[in-house]
Amino acid sequence: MSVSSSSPLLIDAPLVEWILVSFLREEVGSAGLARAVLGLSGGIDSAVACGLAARAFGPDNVLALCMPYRASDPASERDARAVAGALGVRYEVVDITAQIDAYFATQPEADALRRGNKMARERMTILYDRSAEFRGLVVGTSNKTELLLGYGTLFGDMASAINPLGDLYKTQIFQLARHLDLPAAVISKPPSADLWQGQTDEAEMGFTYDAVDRLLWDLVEHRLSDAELAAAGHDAALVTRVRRMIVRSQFKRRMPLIAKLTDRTINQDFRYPRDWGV
Amino acid sequence: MEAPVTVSLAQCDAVLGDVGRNLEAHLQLIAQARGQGAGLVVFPELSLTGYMLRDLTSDVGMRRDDPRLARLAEASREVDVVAGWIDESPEHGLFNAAGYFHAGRLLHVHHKVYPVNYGMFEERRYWAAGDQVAAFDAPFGRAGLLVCEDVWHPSTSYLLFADRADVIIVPSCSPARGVQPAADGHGGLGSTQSWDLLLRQQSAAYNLYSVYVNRCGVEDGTTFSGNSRVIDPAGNTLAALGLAPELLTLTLDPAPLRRRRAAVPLLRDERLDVTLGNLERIARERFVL
Repeated sequence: MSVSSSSPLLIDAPLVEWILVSFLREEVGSAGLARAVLGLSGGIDSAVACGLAARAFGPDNVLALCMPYRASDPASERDARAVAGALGVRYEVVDITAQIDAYFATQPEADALRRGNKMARERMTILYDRSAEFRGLVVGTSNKTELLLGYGTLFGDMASAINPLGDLYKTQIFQLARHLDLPAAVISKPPSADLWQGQTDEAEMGFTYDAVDRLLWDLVEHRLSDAELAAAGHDAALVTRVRRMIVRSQFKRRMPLIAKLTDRTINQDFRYPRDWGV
Repeated sequence: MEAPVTVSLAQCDAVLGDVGRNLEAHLQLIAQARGQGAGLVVFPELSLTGYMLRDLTSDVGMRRDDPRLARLAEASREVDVVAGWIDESPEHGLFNAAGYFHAGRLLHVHHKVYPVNYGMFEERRYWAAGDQVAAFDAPFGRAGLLVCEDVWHPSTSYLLFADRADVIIVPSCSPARGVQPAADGHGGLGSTQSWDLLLRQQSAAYNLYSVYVNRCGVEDGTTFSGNSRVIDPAGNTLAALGLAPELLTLTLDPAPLRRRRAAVPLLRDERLDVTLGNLERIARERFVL
């Protein structure tokens, strides 16, 4: 996946690397720590996050966990291992089949969505548990495209302490991956949530990252109207669909609502920086 | 401009909400700048408090008699200092302030006239807006202070020009945004390119030195973009820093300023009466006074 030299999605990759490495160091340092824990799926997002963390803290201070289920594509673990090996980070495989199957033995009617969400949340609990042992922060791997579309599990793969990738569109993640010189297999394969064999994001969503990123750029960054988006060549049906996806997933991008009763409701009129008292 | 001045640009990080630790860091950098022969050390916006204060603003506000400001004033017996903090007025207004310390006392204070309140910024929620823009007599000549967003309103630098400033000092906390490659292939932040344009325009239009000192480091996910710089009275960039913490020392010489003002006598020819008369007319027409 590549973007043309005139695309507004083109990034100055060395500059982005500098900012994100500095972000990781300072925000983890703010918590009094110097280590990171993350889930390494074999996909490109977690590989980029892992590459940035390895540069920020040194490979020995990064714990990458690959957490497959029995239905996961074996190629995913192989690719995760290749990334960890190339970066020199600590790497472990934690198979989640036993606990997932034990739970769903009581929920035989659960569909693929419920099962996928449960797996994502299972992985989250493992990352947070291991982060306490490793004394590192959980580094998030959600990119801006999936955050805007709501293509992620709330309190699952969307959960983290800090996220270096959340302001980069998917096509920009690819640019950064090439700059970071990650293994070619991770960059060339089609993005997949790997909930079942052969699944790809683009087939499941019904549009390409290239098309949706160009649309999101005009829609989110420039707030173009539907008429302006049509004039810019964006498919009207895609525009309608993407607008709806953004609005309907807004709840995933915010902390839970708190019913207001006092004059200093948390995050409404009790407003402190996240980096308070560091 | 009466004399050369050797300026140290203290492009540094800050600990959010911890005036004590920031003050110690200031004193160390001041000592380092003295070692480089500085006559003036300039720190970024809110250098003593950090920027993303939100409700911490009222916790870190300092009255003018605060002993921590007195320590900074004491340090200015050896070298002049520009630093930033939350200035609490006798009426308990909280201002984003930049102060010029000289010979053991606070010589001049500027309250940010345009606290930013759009996009990612919500300064007006927490800070009162200043209402005075004035040049003052520094040991080397006339100087003026503007804080960050003030410069985006050309009226502020115009007022300092009219008030005969030779040097405009701009402490700033500008967040890094815009990571597209530059057209010239050299890369660079969109926000930094905007600042470079504004500062060069300000210096070239008003024939004065601009000294811009921006924060670096990260607060609440936002990286400050550094890239502090000095522009000469013809609009040329004399020196510029990168994204990382650094202390840069250089001398501003009166000769280029004198030469430029002789060749392009904009200050001599500036007609304050025309500006004033027309501003009064515009204000009358736009607002019911």
